[in-house]
Amino acid sequence: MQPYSSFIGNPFFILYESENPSEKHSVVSSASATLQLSHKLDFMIRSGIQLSADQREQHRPVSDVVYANGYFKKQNVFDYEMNHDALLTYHDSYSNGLHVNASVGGNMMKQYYDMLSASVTGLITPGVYKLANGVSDPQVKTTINNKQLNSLYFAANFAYKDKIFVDVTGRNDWSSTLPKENCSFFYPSVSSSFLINEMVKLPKQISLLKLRASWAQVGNDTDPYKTSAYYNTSDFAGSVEVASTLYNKNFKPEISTNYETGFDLRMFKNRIGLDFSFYYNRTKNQILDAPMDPTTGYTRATINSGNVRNRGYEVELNATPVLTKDFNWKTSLTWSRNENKILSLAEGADENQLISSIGSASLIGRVGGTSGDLWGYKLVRNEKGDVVIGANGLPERGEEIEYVGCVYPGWKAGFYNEFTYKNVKFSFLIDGQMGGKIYSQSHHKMTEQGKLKHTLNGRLPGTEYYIGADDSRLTSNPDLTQLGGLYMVAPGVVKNSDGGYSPNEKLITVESYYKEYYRIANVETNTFDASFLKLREVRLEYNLPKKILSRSPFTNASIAFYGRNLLCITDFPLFDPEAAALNGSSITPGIETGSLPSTRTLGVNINLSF
Amino acid sequence: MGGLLCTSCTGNFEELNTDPTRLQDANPGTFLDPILYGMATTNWNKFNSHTFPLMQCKISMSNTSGVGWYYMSDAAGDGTWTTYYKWLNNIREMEDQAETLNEPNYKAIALTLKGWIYGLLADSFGDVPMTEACRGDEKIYTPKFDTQKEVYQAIINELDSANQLFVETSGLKYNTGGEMMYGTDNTLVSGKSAGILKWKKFCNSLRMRTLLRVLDVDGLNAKAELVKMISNPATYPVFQSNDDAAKVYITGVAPEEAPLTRPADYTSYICLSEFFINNLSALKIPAFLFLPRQQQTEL
Repeated sequence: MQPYSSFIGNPFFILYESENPSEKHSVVSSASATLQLSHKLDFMIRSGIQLSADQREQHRPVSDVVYANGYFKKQNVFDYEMNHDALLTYHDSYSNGLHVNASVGGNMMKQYYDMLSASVTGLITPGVYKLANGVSDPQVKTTINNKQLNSLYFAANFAYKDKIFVDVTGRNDWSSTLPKENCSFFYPSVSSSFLINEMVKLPKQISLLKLRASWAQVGNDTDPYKTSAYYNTSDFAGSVEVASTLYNKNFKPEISTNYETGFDLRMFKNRIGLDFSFYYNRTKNQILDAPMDPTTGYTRATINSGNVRNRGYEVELNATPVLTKDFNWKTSLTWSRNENKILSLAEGADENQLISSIGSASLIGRVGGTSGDLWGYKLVRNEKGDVVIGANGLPERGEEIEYVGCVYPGWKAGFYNEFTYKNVKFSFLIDGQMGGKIYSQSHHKMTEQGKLKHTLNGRLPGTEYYIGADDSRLTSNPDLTQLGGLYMVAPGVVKNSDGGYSPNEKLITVESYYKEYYRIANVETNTFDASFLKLREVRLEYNLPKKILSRSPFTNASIAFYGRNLLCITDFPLFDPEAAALNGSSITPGIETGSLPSTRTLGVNINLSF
Repeated sequence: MGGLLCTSCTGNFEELNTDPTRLQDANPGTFLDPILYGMATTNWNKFNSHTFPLMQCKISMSNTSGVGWYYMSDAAGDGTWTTYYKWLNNIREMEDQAETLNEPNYKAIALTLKGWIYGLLADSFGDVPMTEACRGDEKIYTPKFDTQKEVYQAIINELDSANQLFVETSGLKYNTGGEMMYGTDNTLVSGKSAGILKWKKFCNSLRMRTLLRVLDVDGLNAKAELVKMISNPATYPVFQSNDDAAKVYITGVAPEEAPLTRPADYTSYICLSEFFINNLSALKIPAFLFLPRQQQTEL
């Protein structure tokens, strides 16, 4: 066991023994053929398959922190996706300036996933990772998922004199994952754009003005096997358990409706451009496994939930401030904001619908709130906002969970610059977000063990909470250990018998303060702002000049050095705030529970064209 | 043409959306072991997190806000509540299967386990849902609460029915490997199943314990029932030695692992109290695996 932490194992083991080897073989291939039936009519058919076989293992040595006697698991995953589609296209142009491109087609998609794993707990001979070396019998788990989606669709594009463009689409899907009577769903879309500068005489400074408007629906199905009851296979021989998620024979597909409008304005021969979009999106009947009261015997049920609205805008400003024969500078600034709101919850749902929860932090949906509202226990405060301390000298615990913050950011922005001098191009991209809150379980764990700098407050002389060995509170009480940096007084107030509050004076150990104040269930103290500014990419590219190229077999040759995720400025502790948490098979934003760190990439790119 | 396309579109969907790996049919014996192991480990974990510190035997070193310092949060009972109802749902499934397949021993075991768990629920929480509970597939999403007295009455009645249902001349035909508590399988010795007799004793001892708890409650008639049981030991056999004890034996090897397997859970931030150690040595109980060392600092 490690003497400095009871939770972290031997670092040598973590690096060299507790390995997760994996070998993946994949194949991607497709074939297509296009038949020209006439000069206006084409017929295309295409088939493709993506297939992979993944062999994974999990090794844990004897005296691992979790598996004291070792552990070995072998897992084989085989999966593929096959697509067959056919498309009949008609294109024509008319003398009045109308161009038409219309197509009708269909697609058959099949997905198959097969996972078989066997694990043994306890190794007879340490260091030997084979199923035959297991103390226990191999525990086998198997999962097979089958899904098929058949679709029919049409699309028509109309262009009138290169001034007005209209696109219409319609698609009907049949999904095997939905209940039989609801397995078919149709979703159309219409979008249009108008080149105003071609239709009306505009001042000559304006090179382009385009207006766009669209309305689109998108339908969605779900994962397989939600329509009937199954027993879960138990680890015990010949045993099963009732599944904890209640099936649903009658749920419907999810439909999202999106309205969007915007304009694209370019001036001074495209030296300055401004693009603006506004969108409004409503998702109805979202399919999720919502929590149920446990006294029903089930903890979750598959349901269609209520109505969620997302609306927002995106602005892009780009310019070429410097444009000369040898040197130019292009710049672009983007800004976007999304507002999420729950309009209604599922029928029969409580006023609070649990969306997901990991450990002590939960995302709870309420009408009028967002789908990213973070809830958990907070500190107890009086009307003035002071932290209330209990009789034991530690912060009091709240009785019920409360709203802590929203995980979604207020806005996001990006700034891109590109400088070209003859054959050399240098560019960099900075982006960031403002707002958003993330609960950090790693911060709790590290604080509890005193590993973070902020826990030095109270332990180091000169810090605010520090009490020295010569302090009268220590010297007057011989039962206390006479050492500085061991005790402190928790900042806050205690409740008096008359209902008022007075400053807390009780001496407690520094260790117990940090353990209580930042305890795992206190979502308030362990949640931080997720705002960040990142140097997302820097790139230096050199293109071989035409003079050298003409004497070589290449038509184009370039070499570039790039770096991504080079710098991140944020107040969020320990991790990249773009961390997300895995909750079963979905990604839950706003809750960090020891995610893997994001990576910085440095590379070279060589491009040759013949 | 469109219609033809449609039927061919969904032709084999029903077969595709049927999980080829999980069972949709089971027999009552397949539920028993997970229920026994699950309840036993849950209760041991509650002992470790609540009873052991409350009785001042185990002391937390990390803070003074835990159960051992008499700080009970509102959420203290959440795990128990959710887990007990999950196993009650499995027991209901076992009981339904036993009815359909006409297996009185399995039904009697289901009623015994139900009586045991509802007794624990009523003792911990007072009024709890019982008659409408575990009926989520009948679309009962908010079961009503029955009063503690109604729950106790139901337990007393059901344990009596269970006692009458047990058939000692047959064993448990779907547990050929022997179930985890008494090892009952389908073998008979001199025409009788030893395991079923032990289940019957468990059922009646449990009934006696339940009656003892409500001796003075009006309307439950506990005293008279108790007298009836004591004076008819042939009809109401009860525990007679430790051999009859309702204990789940585990090998310690997966899947029958001990409830706590990580070494850190036995040693991080906890120590054993003077009161506990002194009592162990006074009663001459041998020391166990993790030898406690004397703590230097005092809290």
